Amino acid sequence: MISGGIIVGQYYPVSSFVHSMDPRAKILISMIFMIVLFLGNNFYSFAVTGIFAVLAVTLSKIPWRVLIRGLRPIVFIMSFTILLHLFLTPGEAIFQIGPLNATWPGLIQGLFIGLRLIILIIFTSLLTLTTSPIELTDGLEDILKPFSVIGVPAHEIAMMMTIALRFIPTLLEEADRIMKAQMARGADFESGNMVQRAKSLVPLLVPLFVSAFRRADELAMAMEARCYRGGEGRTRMRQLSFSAKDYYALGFTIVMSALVVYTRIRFGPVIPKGPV
Amino acid sequence: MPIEVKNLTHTYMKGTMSEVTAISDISFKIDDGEFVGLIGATGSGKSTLIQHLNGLLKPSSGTVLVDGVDIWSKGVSLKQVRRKIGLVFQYPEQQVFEETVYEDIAFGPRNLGYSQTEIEARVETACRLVGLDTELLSRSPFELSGGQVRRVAIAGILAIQPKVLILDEPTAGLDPRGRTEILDNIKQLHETGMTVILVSHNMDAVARLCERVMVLEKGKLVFDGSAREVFAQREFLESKQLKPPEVTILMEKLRQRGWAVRNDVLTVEEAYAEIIKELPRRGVAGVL
Amino acid sequence: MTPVDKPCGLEAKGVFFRYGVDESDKVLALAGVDLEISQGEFVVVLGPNGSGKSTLAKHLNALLLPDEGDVWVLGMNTKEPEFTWEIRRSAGMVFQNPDNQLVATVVEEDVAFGPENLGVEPPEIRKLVAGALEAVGMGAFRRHSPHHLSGGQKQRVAIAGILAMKPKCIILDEPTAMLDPSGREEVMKTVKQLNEEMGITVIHITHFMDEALYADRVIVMDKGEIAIVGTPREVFSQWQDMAQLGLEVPPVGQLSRRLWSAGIDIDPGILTVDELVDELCRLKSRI
Repeated sequence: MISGGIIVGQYYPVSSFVHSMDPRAKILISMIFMIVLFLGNNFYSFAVTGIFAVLAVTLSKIPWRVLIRGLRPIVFIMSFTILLHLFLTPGEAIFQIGPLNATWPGLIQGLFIGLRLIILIIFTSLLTLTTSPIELTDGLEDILKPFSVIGVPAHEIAMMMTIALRFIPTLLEEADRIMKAQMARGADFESGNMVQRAKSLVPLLVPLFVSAFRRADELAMAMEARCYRGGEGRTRMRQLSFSAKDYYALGFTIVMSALVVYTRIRFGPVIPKGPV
Repeated sequence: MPIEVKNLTHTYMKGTMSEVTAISDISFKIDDGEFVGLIGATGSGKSTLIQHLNGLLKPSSGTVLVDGVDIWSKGVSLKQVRRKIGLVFQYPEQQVFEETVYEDIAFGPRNLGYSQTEIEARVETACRLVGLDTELLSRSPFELSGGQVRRVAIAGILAIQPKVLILDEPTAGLDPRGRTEILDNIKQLHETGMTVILVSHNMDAVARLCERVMVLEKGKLVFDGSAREVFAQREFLESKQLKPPEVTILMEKLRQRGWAVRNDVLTVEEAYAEIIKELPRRGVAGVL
Repeated sequence: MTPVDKPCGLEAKGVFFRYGVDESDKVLALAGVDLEISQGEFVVVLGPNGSGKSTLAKHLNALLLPDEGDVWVLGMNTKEPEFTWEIRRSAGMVFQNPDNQLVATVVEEDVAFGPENLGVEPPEIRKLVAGALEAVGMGAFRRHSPHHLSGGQKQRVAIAGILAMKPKCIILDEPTAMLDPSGREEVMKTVKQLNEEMGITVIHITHFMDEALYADRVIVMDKGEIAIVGTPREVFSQWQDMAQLGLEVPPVGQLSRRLWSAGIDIDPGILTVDELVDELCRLKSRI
């Protein structure tokens, strides 16, 4: 089963404070949080954002192991970033490997970046774990709607997301079947060098594309037959509504942001100079 | 090329919350030249089972022996197993990808490393076996009709020249003429000595073609015997969400009304012969 | 402009249609089709691949417009652009591949798609969706993901999606082709029920001869024309013409005909098991 390891956009269905929030509030809070996370430039601000993230996770009732599992795919890129900072930041040396100097500022800078990345991933995956895809698209469409006057295709983006989510499992299953059908004809997807492997994907990708185009064609016709004519004049069955808890959460987020800005002004950057 | 399956069990997503046992503890043996029908409701494990027979799925437990050799033991090449056991998936036209019909049918033999002349000969033989006009070989498979592409796809498996042919619902989605033609092809293939395993929901076809029938229910093999025997058991089949052919049901209903007809009738011809024995002919017995 | 009142639900007159972009390689898909279907009728359309069945169906929903001739749906000419959406609402269409017509990731959201497109008010959409899902017996699945349903269930959701638009007519283009026997039966029974209880006109296209038995009237198409029309019995009694089109009479029908031609005093047009059993028993008791 190919679909076994995929975590992107996975919804974790439990009922919790965070789950029951309006998706628009959650998207807004996530956006504010991301900005604030990058505004924070010392360990005090991380304490604030970190506590906020821990609080959010606790309120969401998502088990920590699920979130930690979500970090796995970025372990490589994270270690790489930390190493890069460790060796390429000038300063007082800790140890030396060949021409490379590991420095104290590098170590601190590396840890800094790593921590920021971990908090970022945990918080954003919280959004998809607590919000069903359909709420997410509804929320996004609503948030983007005011921007449609300046040409942002809010409805089209939401419709594309819905259709993509609807067809991802179907296409994964199809890929699995086509792969097996080609293996039954002696195709080999597992051995050979990079070039050979890339080439061996042709018998998988061509049928998959042909099928995806055929599906798109049929779906377009079916949508037209059901009177679809774009977002104009369209209503939605589900109505989103802000409740008290959404206002509390937003208010709390603003307080948290203010705190981070305060730490930034009060304590300054952890390392006076160097890239972030 | 006998296939033997011993205590085969397959569990998807083993060790996770969504663990599903698709087939459990299945054992059977299929000898050379048999024509076996594999039937069962959707989700009964038919597809999972056949994917084990050519090593596309690895058993969670149990063994699959081809020619007496466990295909998952060390040193066995799965490619060689797939050369001997051809599997035609449902809607096989979806696997077609080459620019010409010829190239697509040649994909299998080419993967197995045959020479150019050998490949040509195999493509030609495969075309003949499925009744595909060799004039179509230079055409793009994407401009052929549904029934024709289906035959191109089956030819793609036959070009491997397997000893055993497994077909998963080969007539699905075809028009009546396409269905008849494919079934006739399969019958002819069996007559050339090939072992055939037919997975189908079309009970009329299974009753007409297969000597032996295996019934799967919720991953278990609940019947393995002659077609005549299984189709006469309407209640048993219905409990498995299956239905005997209409003529078989007709015979059963006639018996309930006191007719002395056989209940293991499988075709219109046989039904006719049974009924006619019991009836006077118009203008003969009627007048006398 | 108000729709003209017409006695029949659907009407096609002298419809010609050609596929293809270039004049040179155009394929004639409909070659002069005349057809009248009354409100509440159950019509089954048979015919080999390429006989024009699907093309005709798409004309009845204004997805295609005739090159020549006219199509009226409830008195509305499909060529009039202002009627297009009202035609598609009142003559809904269900397609062959259950996967490729469901839009949303949740069953009830999908059923709501049609009414949402029509701009129906949200509380009213909820009622329509609940009613439509109940009518096809899928109420219990309203929060499920379509991906995890069986083929037959997916098609019933697709039918509910049409029903939620309150149509007068449903056109089904080979909805059973990709289903297993129990899925086929599910769909056919659902459609028959909608026809009988709600008076919805049904036009059902199929390759399965036994499904023709549900029909009030069977239409057999060949090369873009209507070749045979009649009740199932009338149509299958023309078995020689049917065989030429590659359409086989269902097994019980074949048996009735064989018995009849062997000199048994029996109606050669019998198509169902129960009818044949009754007829044979009556014959036997006369001896």
